[in-house]
Amino acid sequence: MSVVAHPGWTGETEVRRLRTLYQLLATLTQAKNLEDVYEAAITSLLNATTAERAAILIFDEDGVVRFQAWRGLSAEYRQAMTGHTPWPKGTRDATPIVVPDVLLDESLMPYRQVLSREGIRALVFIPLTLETGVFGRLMLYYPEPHECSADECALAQAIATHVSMATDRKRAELACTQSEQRLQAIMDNSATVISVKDLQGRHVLVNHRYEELFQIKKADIIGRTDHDVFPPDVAERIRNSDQRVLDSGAPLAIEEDLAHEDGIHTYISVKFPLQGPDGRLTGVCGIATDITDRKKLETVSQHLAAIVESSDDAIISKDLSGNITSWNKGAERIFGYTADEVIGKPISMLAVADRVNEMPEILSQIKRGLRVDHYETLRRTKDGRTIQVALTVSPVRDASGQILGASKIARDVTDRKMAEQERASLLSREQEARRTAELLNRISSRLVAELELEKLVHVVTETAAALVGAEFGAFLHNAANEKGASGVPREAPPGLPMPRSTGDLETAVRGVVRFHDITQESRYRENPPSYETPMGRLPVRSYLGVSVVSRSGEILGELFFGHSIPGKFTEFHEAIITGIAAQAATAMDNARLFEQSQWAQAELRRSNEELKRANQDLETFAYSASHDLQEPLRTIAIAAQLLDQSCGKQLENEDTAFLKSILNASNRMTALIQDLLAYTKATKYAEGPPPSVDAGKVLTGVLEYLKGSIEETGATVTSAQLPAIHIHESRLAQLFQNLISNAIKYRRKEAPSVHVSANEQDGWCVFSVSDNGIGIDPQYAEQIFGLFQRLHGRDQYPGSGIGLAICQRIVEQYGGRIWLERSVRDGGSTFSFSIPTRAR
Amino acid sequence: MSRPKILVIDDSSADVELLRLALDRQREEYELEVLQDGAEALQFVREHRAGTRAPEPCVIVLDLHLPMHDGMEVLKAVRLEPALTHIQVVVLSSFLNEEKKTAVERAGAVYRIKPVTLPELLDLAAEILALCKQALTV
Repeated sequence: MSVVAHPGWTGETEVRRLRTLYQLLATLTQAKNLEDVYEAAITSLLNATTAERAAILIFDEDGVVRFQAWRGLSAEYRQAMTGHTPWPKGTRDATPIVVPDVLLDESLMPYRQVLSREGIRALVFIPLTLETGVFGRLMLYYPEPHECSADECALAQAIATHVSMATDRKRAELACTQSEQRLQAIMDNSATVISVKDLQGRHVLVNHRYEELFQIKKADIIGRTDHDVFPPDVAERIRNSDQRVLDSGAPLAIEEDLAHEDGIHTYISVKFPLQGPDGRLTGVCGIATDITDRKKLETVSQHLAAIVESSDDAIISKDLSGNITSWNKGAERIFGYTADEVIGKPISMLAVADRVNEMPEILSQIKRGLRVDHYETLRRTKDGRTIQVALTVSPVRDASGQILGASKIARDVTDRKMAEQERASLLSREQEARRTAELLNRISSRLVAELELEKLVHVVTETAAALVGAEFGAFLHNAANEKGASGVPREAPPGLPMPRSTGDLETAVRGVVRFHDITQESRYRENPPSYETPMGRLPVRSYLGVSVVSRSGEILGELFFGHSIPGKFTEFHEAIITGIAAQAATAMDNARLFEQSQWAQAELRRSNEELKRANQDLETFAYSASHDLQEPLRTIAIAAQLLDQSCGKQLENEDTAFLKSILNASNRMTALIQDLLAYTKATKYAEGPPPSVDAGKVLTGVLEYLKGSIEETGATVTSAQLPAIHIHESRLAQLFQNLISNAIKYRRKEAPSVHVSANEQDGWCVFSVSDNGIGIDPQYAEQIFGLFQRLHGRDQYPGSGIGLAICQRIVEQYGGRIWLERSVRDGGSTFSFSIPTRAR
Repeated sequence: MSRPKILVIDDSSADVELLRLALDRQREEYELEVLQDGAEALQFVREHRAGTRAPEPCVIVLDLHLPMHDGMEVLKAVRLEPALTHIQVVVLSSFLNEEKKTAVERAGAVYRIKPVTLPELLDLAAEILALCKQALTV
């Protein structure tokens, strides 16, 4: 841009001045931040004045003036001049200062060296001012002495005014954004749900928790009402409470239940009106707090109180001076006093005369934070009895850990003997259970190892009988598998007391029956037990039975045990056989699975062999069938030819046609048989692993073979570089031959053009044969590979419809695939087949 | 010169008849002996070995697909019999089988596909007679 050398109040400078200011304004309105404003100021200054360099400096919070943007100033210069100002921050009525020659200016004496090193000879200071006074300045620099014209100065001042205003605006904007961000951050970090709505009920602000709670994005709700996002009834409820707040102008607190994934949550929601600076209502703010946990806690403490209240033990609390603060029903029962009678009274009222010192001792322990456990002592009741109690006293602390008092649990252990007995019985029961578990463990390994069902049943019956001390043991298979009972006569009649019929039997444990003496059972007394139980012919009195139920719930059978003495079996024996039955069920499941898998494997082997044999039979059949078909055919063909030759001329026209059709039919039949035989051969696996063959050489051989038809049709067959692959040469030749001869056969009017290519990828070599022939309707893409599948009339395109079937057989033998890659009606087709690059 | 004797070993009488027809068309003297299966053919070889049979044929036309013992077995027996080693054998097959062809040619015999057209059949008959003549002149 050319610079006007001598600015004056000419039309040209006026235009330039206006243009500069207009551009500046346009830039400033688009400024995103303060840096953009500063940059615009510099650009504008350099455009509007003759100065070569310019800068903008702004006071920081400490009153130090710093460079914010500049053109053409070195770092040393900026560093040296930082903090230098003709006016302190906030000076009012500051005016521009023009220094036409720095060498003549006294105030710049100390900076003379810096200025000369920077090549600055003249400069202008233009203050940037706001209501609060100077907040910075614009600088213009000149290399030679320079008298700034009035216009230049005025323009620079005009720029300064715009920049000042823009800076002010931008600062206010930033402050506003910051405070908004701060507000959002505070809201977002609050655990409460916050939303602000305007008078029309449109959301203005919501926080993270709100987004989480209602599973809605901030962007999707801002500017929209509750009616837009919630179901009508919910939205209506919210709107009503909002309206109440707006109408009354007073805060409102409500409890609301909301369904969450983990159940119903209770919220305490506070709504209050929002007012603008002028006191008018601007909207409503809602803050909701999840008080579900607090509610739960209330319930828990109510629950705990109920537990305390219902405890048989006396639960008493006292403060540190030993005064009773709480007293439960248990305490009432043990000591005889009601709560009203004792609360607030000293605990020592329960003491026995000769043990008065005990209580202060306990209290001093509690004060030290120690617990008193199972302390046995004597106490006095309301009616003057002395009872023996076991005490557990522990300190009660407040949230800060300070000891407030003690809680005491007292148990009346007067009937000590009884308690001891109870303990002993518990112990023996525990030992019994342990013994059962050990026994079960011991047999389980034996059971799991046994895979033969019959042996397994035997082991189970024997072991279980030994364990429960039975004289007789039996396993009865479920009627469905008809194997009969093991160890008892098979003719045991139905209608047995089956373990699964729990109805009105004495032992109401599901799956188990136990009779103290089966001969005394009312149900079986009327009929001799000998016909009613699997132990029928045995002198059984004690009787124990259990079902063996598989994982799937099927009843595999029942285990029975008997003894000639009544009452031999106990609950303990019930537990043992229940355990054994469970183990046995697992083992039997395994054994059955094993049997099934053995059978399935044998079946698979057999059907494989059958398939192989069937395939061989089929091959042999196809081979000899083609052989035998060929013989009469030869006779027909040659006989017809002989007939034609010897008396063709004497035949009527119609007869000649008959003869021709015999010849045609036999020719076609010959071709068909040839193809069928080729197909049979292709089905047969080639002998030995496939050698590596050069596909290119094979193709050359095939083309030589097809030379006749290629020349006849004027076909061109081209080929890309073909790799060496593992395949039997004759098979590859067959593939090429069939595909290429198809490509030539199914041609359009123009000469066929065939291209053979190969592409190796991921362990496969894919060969493609493309042509420009008649194409194939894609709906037949699968069908064409079927045996005897033809898409055209025989007269149109001869053939037996076996070629592609042969190709498919061949590639499948190598684990490959053949498919119609591309086909355009009248635009040719591409067949591809894949062969693994490594022999399989 | 005695009439050339041609031995045909083939179970297909139709094929034999066609061959006879084609030979007749050559307008040359010949004598045709026909054996119907592999067993008869092996019997023929045995009799030659024992010297109980004469004269020898000048050419044997052998179908590969024979009942009882197949053509390959018969060919092997003929080739192993010193009295017959010099006789030309033409092996006929319904279909081309490269492996068999190689084996037959290695045994010094001629391998031909059974003709399905009249010209082919006539060519074969001519070839057989030519081989016969060749054997007699040697």
